[in-house]
Amino acid sequence: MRWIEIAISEDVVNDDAVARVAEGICVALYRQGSDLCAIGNICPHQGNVLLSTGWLEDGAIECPLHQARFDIRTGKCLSGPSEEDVPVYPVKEEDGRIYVCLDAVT
Amino acid sequence: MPNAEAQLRGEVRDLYDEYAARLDNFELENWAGMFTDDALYVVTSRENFDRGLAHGTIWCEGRAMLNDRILAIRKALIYEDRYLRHFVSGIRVIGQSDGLIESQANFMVVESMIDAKPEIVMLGRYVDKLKRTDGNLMFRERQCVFDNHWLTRALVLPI
Amino acid sequence: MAEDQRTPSNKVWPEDRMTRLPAWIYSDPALFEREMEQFFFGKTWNYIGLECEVPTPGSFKRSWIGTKQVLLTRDKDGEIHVLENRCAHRGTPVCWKQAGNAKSLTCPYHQWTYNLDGSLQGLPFLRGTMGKGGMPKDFDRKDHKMRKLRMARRGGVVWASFRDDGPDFATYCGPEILKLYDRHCSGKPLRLLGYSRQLLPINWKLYIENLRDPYHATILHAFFVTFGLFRADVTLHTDSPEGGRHELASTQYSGDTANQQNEATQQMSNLKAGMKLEDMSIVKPIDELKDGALANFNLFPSVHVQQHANIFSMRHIIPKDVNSMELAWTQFGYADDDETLHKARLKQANLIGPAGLVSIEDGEVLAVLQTGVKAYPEGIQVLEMGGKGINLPSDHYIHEDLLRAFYDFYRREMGL
Repeated sequence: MRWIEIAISEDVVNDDAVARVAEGICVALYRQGSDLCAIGNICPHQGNVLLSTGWLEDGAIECPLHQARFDIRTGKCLSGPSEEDVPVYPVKEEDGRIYVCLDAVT
Repeated sequence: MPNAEAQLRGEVRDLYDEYAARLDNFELENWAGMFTDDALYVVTSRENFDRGLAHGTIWCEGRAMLNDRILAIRKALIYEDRYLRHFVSGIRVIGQSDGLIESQANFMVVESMIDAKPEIVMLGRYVDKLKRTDGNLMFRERQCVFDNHWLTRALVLPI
Repeated sequence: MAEDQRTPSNKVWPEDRMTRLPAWIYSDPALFEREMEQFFFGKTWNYIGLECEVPTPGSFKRSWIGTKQVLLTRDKDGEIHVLENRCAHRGTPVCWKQAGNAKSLTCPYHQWTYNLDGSLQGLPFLRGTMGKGGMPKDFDRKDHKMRKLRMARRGGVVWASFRDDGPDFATYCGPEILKLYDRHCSGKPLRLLGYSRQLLPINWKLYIENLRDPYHATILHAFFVTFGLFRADVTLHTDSPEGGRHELASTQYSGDTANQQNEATQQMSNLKAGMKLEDMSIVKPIDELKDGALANFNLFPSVHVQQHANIFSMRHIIPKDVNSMELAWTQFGYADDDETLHKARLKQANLIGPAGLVSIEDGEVLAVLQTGVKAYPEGIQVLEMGGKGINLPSDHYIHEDLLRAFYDFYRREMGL
């Protein structure tokens, strides 16, 4: 696994989304209690919208444009107009830094 | 061979000018004489053409159908007098295949009638296939593809 | 203009109501608005399009009911809908294209996005941004959709009504119209051939009248008469069913009699003896429906359904304002047409449409007529051909019974 440093730990806090771009890929980082999540940050529905600018509630991020909702842990589309899910990236935290693996999309 | 290309383009330009002049002068029989016996002459909207829909507002296969239309215009149809003037520009030779020359040009046709300002009847482009017959270029296929959403009132004369 | 300020109630129908027609009905804007409400937006069924125009999930096409624009769509499950082309937010026409295919319809103004069944997918900044703005908490997307109209489908043709309290489609048509309707729109899959569109500078009623005026057909349309396509010596069955609302006409036709002239046809003033067509295929149809008949009907108010030989045409009547209308011709055939029949349809279509060897004249004469009735709104027209009452059904050409029947219906509906 090729781990890429993408953020420092203190930037990613509970109930907030952090947008990052690594190797041209838009990633959103979320912290939910002890869980740290990294999922694709572009809504697959339309318009190249950054999901991180949307509404985070009950473990789901809602696209600000047309309200497609995605589970921040699984990337699954929960409701709304998108017919696709967003990718989920392996993520780890070490020594106050956050790393993702962009090659291993699940 | 740039010279041959320029010569062909000049020839096509002359053909188009002659075509326009014959219609503008109401020389309808001479106009039909510029088509091969098996010619296809279609006036259709961009809406139809771009979607590959076969219907044409005018759809004539063979010079006989052109002659019948001329007969109707001359002898049978009732319509107000009008004068058409064709403006042709942007003439291009697109290519050659199967002994036919593919060419295109823009056209604007303006109609003048009594008690009215001249009106643009049609704007569009000619999509043509030309055939050399006894040394002269003739229309094997002419599709007049108009950009107008509507035709106003009626389309009496050929384009 | 002083004329425009007069309300219809100040204008009276001439005393001899059945045989006299006032000219002001063709240029009164207030009357036009009432006609839209009463007819196109009233308890009527209006032509929208053919199912084959929206062949696959995601297909859409624009259409009109009177002055209101609507959309014909096929959603992702293959269901057909007729929607008002109007954003639930601010009223912007959502779809700006004539036809196409899309997963969703997005209003260009604020990008409210709809499914093809009209339901609202979502809208930008529902929750505001940076914690500010957004819709109130009680805003429910389900309450905001593109309005879906009541729809009917029959034989591959789609119809819609703005009113939910009118009769069902079959009742609205009545048995006589349905008999002709089901003849060529029988459910056999249709194939779209294309469109011709005509902007006519006329009041829409002049076109309705033209369709119900067999008297003019033998006289104005010299092409028909000259080449034996229309013959005053042949029986023409006409009627105006459902109390004058609709109109139908049918006749028998034989390619063998085309170009033959006899005493009756020679009486026609425009007849040019000895004229012959070089290409007779345009007047020698293939008897595909196996009854040798030509049949047309005007399903009031929005369409004239035409089967003339192998020409299948929907003439969509789309009033624009009191002085103009679009006549949108949709040409079609059957999905299983062979090359011969397909070509016959394309060739014969030269008779109709904006450049039709017959219908050119309708466009011309009606455009001139509109200038006359507009300039002389005080004028009174005479409708006495064939008698003073309504003698229908009729079996000949030389009458105005269909016009009297229509205006009898019109006056009743409009309270004039």
